[in-house]
Amino acid sequence: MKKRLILVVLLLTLIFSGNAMVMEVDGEENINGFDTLSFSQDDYQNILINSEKMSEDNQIRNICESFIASSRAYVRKPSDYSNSVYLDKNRTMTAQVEYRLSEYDYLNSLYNALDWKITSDSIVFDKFSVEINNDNAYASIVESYTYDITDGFKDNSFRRREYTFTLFKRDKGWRITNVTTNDPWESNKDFNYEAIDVESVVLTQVNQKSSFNPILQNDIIHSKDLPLYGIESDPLYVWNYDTDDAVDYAEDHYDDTLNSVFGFSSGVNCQNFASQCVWAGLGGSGSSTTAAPAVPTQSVGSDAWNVWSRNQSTTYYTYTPHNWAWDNVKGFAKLMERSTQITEGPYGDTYYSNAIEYAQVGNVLSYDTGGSPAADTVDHAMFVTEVSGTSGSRTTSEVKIACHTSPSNSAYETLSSYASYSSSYFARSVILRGYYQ
Amino acid sequence: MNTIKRTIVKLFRRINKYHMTILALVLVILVAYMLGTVQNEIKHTEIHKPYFNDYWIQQASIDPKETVRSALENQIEKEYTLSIEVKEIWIDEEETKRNIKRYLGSELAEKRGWTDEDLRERFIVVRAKYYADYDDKKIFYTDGHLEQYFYLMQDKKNKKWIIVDNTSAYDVIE
Repeated sequence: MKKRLILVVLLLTLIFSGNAMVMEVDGEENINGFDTLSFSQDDYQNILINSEKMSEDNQIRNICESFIASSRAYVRKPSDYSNSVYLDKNRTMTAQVEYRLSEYDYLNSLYNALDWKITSDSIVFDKFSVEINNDNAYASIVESYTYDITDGFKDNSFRRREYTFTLFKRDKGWRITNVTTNDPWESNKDFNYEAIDVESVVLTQVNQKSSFNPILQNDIIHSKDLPLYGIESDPLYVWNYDTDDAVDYAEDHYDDTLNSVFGFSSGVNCQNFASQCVWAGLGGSGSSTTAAPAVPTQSVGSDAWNVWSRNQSTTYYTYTPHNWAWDNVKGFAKLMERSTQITEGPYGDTYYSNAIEYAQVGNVLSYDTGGSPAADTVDHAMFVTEVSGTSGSRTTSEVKIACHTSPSNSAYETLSSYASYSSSYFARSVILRGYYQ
Repeated sequence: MNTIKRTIVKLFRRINKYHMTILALVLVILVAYMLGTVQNEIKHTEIHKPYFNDYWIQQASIDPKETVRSALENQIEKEYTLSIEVKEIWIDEEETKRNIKRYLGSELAEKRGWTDEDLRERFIVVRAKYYADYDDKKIFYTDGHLEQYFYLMQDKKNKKWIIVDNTSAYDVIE
């Protein structure tokens, strides 16, 4: 009896510590995957043929898994793989299926355009369930996809999402008639399924910054504000940037000379304060300087360019001020300039001309005392709390700011009173939203 | 329900010192594991703690320029400073006037207890040129040949000036 009790206790301990381990690796508990290129297109098709003798549940499972795996293989080698064999060719393709197929084309084109390559991958399936109703079936399965991509990051990328399939049984067996995933944008009821215009979306994604025309800044910002077309990375969720919350924070803290959460540097605290305002706008609260919406080294590594956390730096840049995105005005300008929809952190851009003309509440302004604003010249950061006049023709008298280090005289000091520089001395970082896991 | 109750009661009746020792051991292991996790977290944040708050180390002086000089030269006391050399310090009358105008009757002045009289009679802006070399792995401050404005207030009683704020330092071509 004693032995039995000891056994039970030990078993409970094992379960407990096992749970803790699983929580730590979060999503990496499935390690016995296969490389999607380890099977040829014929192999994938043979799986389909061989499964015809299996139970209907297993047939459907094999079709779903083969569709996903061969689609992943197609992204890597489109000339050698095709996923259309699993689709019901007797039916008109639904918008969902068109979207799904174009998603894989989009990923392939995007990686090519960025000169990225998936060098290896591993795919694992679990949580399969199916409901069969005569010739119709509804199946769901969860894919855990780990891959090495030459995107400049050392760590593997990982993605986990649930697919939901509708299938129809024909003479040759089950075929897919519809497929969706639980990607957050697809779960949005307003999401419009349609085939992605791969060429133009990729072109915009890749050239969105180099094609910048300062005269059309606002339009460019909107064109950057693209829907998320199943961008391949860790699953990132959109965090809204609420400028009211950011301004409220600025009101409460513009006169700080100490801050129990973020600390205070009397020599230079301007960007620390501006980052705090952005943090609050992105939903930041509480006393952790490393919890989202911050992006600490603990999450992305000490050599990632998107580190954005108080008193933390990356080793990514050789020009060291850019390594301190939370605290250094040059670092923050660079962070926003580089921000993407596929990396964690605040997302937007930095503009080095016409900054005042297009200033908006929630922007972070900076100036270069030398009059040539750029990511390596800006000297001081300010947070925009109010604007008047017309976008496109604002002056420094129509922009109000709150800032530290030569503090603003209120949370709404007119920029022309604060600094005597002309508009051309200023740069503007725009925060549209944040992306986080 | 009664069966569960009976099983639990039976189980408790059978627990003896030996079982308690095993349970205690298991608990100790679990607590140690959890403490380890917490300490790792603390370790992560403590790495960055030394510069969480960073204030000027200044020596109040009846000469506002000397107060600024002391603050700059005392930067060498900080672990992140590799070298510092003050080049030039002077009172900037124009910036003094401009900033008095900005702060007079302002919300910030009220919050900081700066009266109109304080601002008109006991507020001054000092400008400094200096060279600083900071360890950029430890601190985010701009370094090189710099200029910076310092805002000082004079103590009514001892007439000494202290730095109450300053602008960001900006690099200049030497």
